[in-house]
Amino acid sequence: MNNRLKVLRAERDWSQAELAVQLDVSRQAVNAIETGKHDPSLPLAFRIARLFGMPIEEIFDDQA
Amino acid sequence: MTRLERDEPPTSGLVRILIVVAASLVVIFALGVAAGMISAAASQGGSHSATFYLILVAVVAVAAGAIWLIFRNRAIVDLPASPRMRKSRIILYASGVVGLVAGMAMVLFEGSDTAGWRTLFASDEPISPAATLVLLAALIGGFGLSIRWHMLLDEHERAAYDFGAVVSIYLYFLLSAGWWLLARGGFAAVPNGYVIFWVVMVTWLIGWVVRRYR
Repeated sequence: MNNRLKVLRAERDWSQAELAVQLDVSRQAVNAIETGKHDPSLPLAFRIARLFGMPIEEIFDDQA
Repeated sequence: MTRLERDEPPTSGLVRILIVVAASLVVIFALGVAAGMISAAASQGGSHSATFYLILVAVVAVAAGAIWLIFRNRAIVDLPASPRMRKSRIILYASGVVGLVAGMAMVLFEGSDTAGWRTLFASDEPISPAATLVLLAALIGGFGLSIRWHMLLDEHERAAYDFGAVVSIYLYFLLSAGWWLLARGGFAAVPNGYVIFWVVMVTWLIGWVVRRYR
């Protein structure tokens, strides 16, 4: 699944480690989501959407 | 200005852990060699050759280099800021302490004889009641810590464990049933539970590493 996590994180000048702390996951988890190697669960996707103040479908795109 | 460029590649954590573990082993080995050399030289009188000092300096230099490597990569053992990850890491360190204490207790009760350790972990030979109790305590302690740790894993880590578990359970099915059939047909010896156990455990570990650090 494609996502805009890396771009959104960069816009806020956050490192992967800083985003991981805010999402309460490991840095490796953030990296895996950004690179499309791990699709987040619905609860984590909601946490990400809430953190960036955007709807889930504006961050994640399943029309790969 | 973005800080994407300071993100670490996904494998860097594993590499740094391996460096710290390898460097720790080198330090222990080098200090052991140095202590052995000094002890042997002391028991043989006071005069030492230039070669003795040369080797001793080289061993100490290797130990110093390994300590420097550990110091450079020390950040990998720092506790993460995320509460869940912090708890998870503390439990991981606690597991290491349990293993260390159990190892020290085993050396105390069983000695450091390599053949004895091989008998202990790679055979069905009887072991002493003290060793049984130490290993059982470590097993139960490790089991409890593992359950707590799994409850704290984030979903990415859990997915890696699940992947390893599925691969290893399929291998267990194939290996145990296949070996059992081969033994009954006269093609192989009786199945060895010890071999099957370790093959399954190592496969689980490999599955976890592959999925987590791919």
